[in-house]
Amino acid sequence: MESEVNDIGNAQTGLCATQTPIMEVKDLVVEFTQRHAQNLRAVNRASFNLYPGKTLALVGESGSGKSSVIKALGRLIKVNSGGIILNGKPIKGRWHMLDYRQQVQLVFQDPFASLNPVYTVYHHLARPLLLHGQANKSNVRSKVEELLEKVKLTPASEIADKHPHELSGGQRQRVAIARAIAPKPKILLADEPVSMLDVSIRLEILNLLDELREKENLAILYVTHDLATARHFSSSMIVMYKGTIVESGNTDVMILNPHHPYTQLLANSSPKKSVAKEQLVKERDERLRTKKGVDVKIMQFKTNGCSFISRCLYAKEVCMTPPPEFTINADSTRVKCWLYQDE
Amino acid sequence: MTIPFEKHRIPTSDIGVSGSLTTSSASLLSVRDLSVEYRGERTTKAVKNVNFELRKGEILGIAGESGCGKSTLAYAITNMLKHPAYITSGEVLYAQGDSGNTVDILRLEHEQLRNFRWTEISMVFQSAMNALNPVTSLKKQFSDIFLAHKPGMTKAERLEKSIRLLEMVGLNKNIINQFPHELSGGMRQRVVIAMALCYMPNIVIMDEPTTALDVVIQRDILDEIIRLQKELNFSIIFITHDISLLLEISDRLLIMYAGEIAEQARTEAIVSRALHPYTNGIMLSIPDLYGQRRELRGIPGMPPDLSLDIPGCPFRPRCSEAFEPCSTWPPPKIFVANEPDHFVRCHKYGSSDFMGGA
Repeated sequence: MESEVNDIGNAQTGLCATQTPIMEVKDLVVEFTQRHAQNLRAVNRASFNLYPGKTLALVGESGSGKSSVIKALGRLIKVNSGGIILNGKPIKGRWHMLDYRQQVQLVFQDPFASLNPVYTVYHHLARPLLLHGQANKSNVRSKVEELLEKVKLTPASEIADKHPHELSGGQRQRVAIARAIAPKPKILLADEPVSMLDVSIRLEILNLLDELREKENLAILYVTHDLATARHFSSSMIVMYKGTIVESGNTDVMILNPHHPYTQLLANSSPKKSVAKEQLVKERDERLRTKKGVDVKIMQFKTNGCSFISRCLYAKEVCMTPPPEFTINADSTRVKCWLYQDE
Repeated sequence: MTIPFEKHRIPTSDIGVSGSLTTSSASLLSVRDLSVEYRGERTTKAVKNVNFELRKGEILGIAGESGCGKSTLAYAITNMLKHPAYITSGEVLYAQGDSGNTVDILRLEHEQLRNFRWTEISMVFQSAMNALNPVTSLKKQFSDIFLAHKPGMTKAERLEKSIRLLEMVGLNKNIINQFPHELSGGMRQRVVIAMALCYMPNIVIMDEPTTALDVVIQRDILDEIIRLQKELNFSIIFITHDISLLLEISDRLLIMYAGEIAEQARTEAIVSRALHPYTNGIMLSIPDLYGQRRELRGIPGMPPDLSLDIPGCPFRPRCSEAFEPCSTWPPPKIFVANEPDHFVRCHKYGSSDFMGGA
C-alpha cells in the first residue's frame, strides 16, 4: 500500500492496490468567485484515483460539487489548487490540451443540449475522429459507421445522416457516447449520463458503458445521485457532500453498511423494490417522526465545522470543529466523521 | 376494425348515477373509453379507449415511458386539453360530494369548469419552476387562486390562509414574500403542492412531481405527500415514468403503453406477479439497492410512433415473447381470476375472458 494518506484508491478494493491508477486526483480545489461574498468552494480537497477498466461512482445530491469535479477533470473550468496526474505525468498550466482531451473525454447529462441541432450525426463523429488522427479523409465515413455500430446504433449508414432531432433521447445519448469514445480515450467522465432518460432506457445505456469499459479497458467516473445504479455499475464509490468527500470505498460494502450519516440518508432515501410494504410504512413513519426541521438559524450559522451538521441526526458538540481526517473502517471503507473517531 | 375486447366495455347507458357503477361503490372518478388525438398533418392517437376507476382515498399510479400518453391522459381527465388535442370519445364521470350525483367533466363548460377545477380536482405539474410565475411573489400567486375562486375573501384572510397552507407542507411562513427563484427545487415543489391543496380537493393529479429532484428531496416530498394524503384523505393519481416510486406508494397501478393500458393491478400483484411482458421488462430494469446483484436489462427498442396504425399488439416489436397472433390481432383484455380488477392486455394468456389465478 502506498503511504499517501489521501489515496482513496487503495481502500477501494484489494485488486486496485496492485494496479497503477491511470489518473490520480490529489487535493483538488475548485472555487467560484462571488460578487458580494466570499469565494464559494465547490470542491474541497478531493482526492481519488481512477483505474483502467474500473468504474468509480461519484454520488451526491444537487449542489454537492459532483459536476464541478467532472468539469475540473475535463479541464473546462479552472482548478484553484491540487493536482491531476495523468498516466504518471502531473498536469500543470496549459498542458497540451489536445493531447489531454485525447485521453480524457466527457459524456454530459442532457443529450438534447450536448449535440448541435444543425449538424448530422456524421458531423458530430467525424470531427473528433479527424482531429485526433483516428481517421483520414478517405476512411472517415467507414470509421463513423464503425463507431455507431460500437454503440449499437443500427443501421449505421442511415443513422449517420440523421440530425439529432430525428433521434430519441436514448439514441442521442448513444451518439454522445460514440463521440466521446471516438479519440480512443483512456478515461470517460460521465456526468449523470442517464438521469434525463426513461427508466427503461437507462439500463441499456449503462450496460453499453459497462461493455465499453470492459472492451476498451476504460476508466469511468460515473457521476450520479442514484445509489441503485451506482451499485450495479461501479466497483467503488465516493460520496460527496457540499464539496467534501465524506465517505469512500467498495460500492457494495458502502451501500449495505453506510457509515457517514449522509450516506445513510442517501441509502434510506433511495426507492427500494425488494422491501415489504409494511416495512416501508414503518420506515416512513419513523422518518416523519425523527425528521429534523431545517432550522434557519443553524443554516445561517457560519462555522468551520462539519457542513452536514444542520441535517445530521447525530450532531454533537465536537462537530462544530473542522471534521477529522479519514478513518479507515474494519470493512476498509473510509469515512470523514467525528462519529468514527476514537476519543 | 373490430376490436376483440369490445365486449368487455361497460355499456355507457348503465352509468349515469353512481349507484350503478359496476366495480366499486366508493368510486370517485371513472374514466370510460377515453380517447385523445392530436390533429395535424399526421394525426397522433395519444390515448386509446382508456377505462379506469379512481376510488376514494387511494393512490393510483400511472406508469409508462415518455410518449406513452400518460400526461395527455391527465390533461384529458381535467378537461385541460387545447388545440391540436381533441377528445374523440369517452367520458370522465365524477361522483360529486354526498349527493350521489355524477358529472361528466368533459361536458362542463366555462364557469362550471372553472368552479370545478381546483375545488374538486387539482393538479401538481411536473416542473415546479415553470408552474410558478417567476416575476411575482408567492403571496401574490396564492392570492390569485383565492381571488379567482372566492372573490369575497379579504386581504388578511387570503394572507392567513396562504401561510397556513405553507406551514401545512412544512415550509416556513417567512418565504411568503419571496419569489420562486429564491427557493430550492424541493421548496418550490412543496409550494406547488400547497397550492393544489388550497380548497382541499377530492382528487389531486400529480404529473411527475419528483422527477427533477434528487433522491433525498424526492423522498421528503413523497413522505410529505403521503402524510397529507392520510390527514386530508384525498385521492391521488400519481403519474411517473419511474415505477420504483409507485411500487412504494401506490395502491393500484396502471401500466400504460402506446396510449393503452397494458396492465392494471394492485401494486402488490405487480410486485409478486407481473403478467404483461412490458411490465416484466420495466420491473427487470429497476436496479435494486439491496438484494442480489444480477444482470440488468432494459427494454430494447423504442415505443411505436402513435401516428401510424399499429396492427396487432403495439409492444410486439420489442417483445421477446411475441408469437404469431401478436402481429395481427390487437391483444384481448384478459381478467385474472381471484384477483380483483387485475387485467392484462396480452395474447400470451389466451383469448378467453378469464385466466386461472395464481
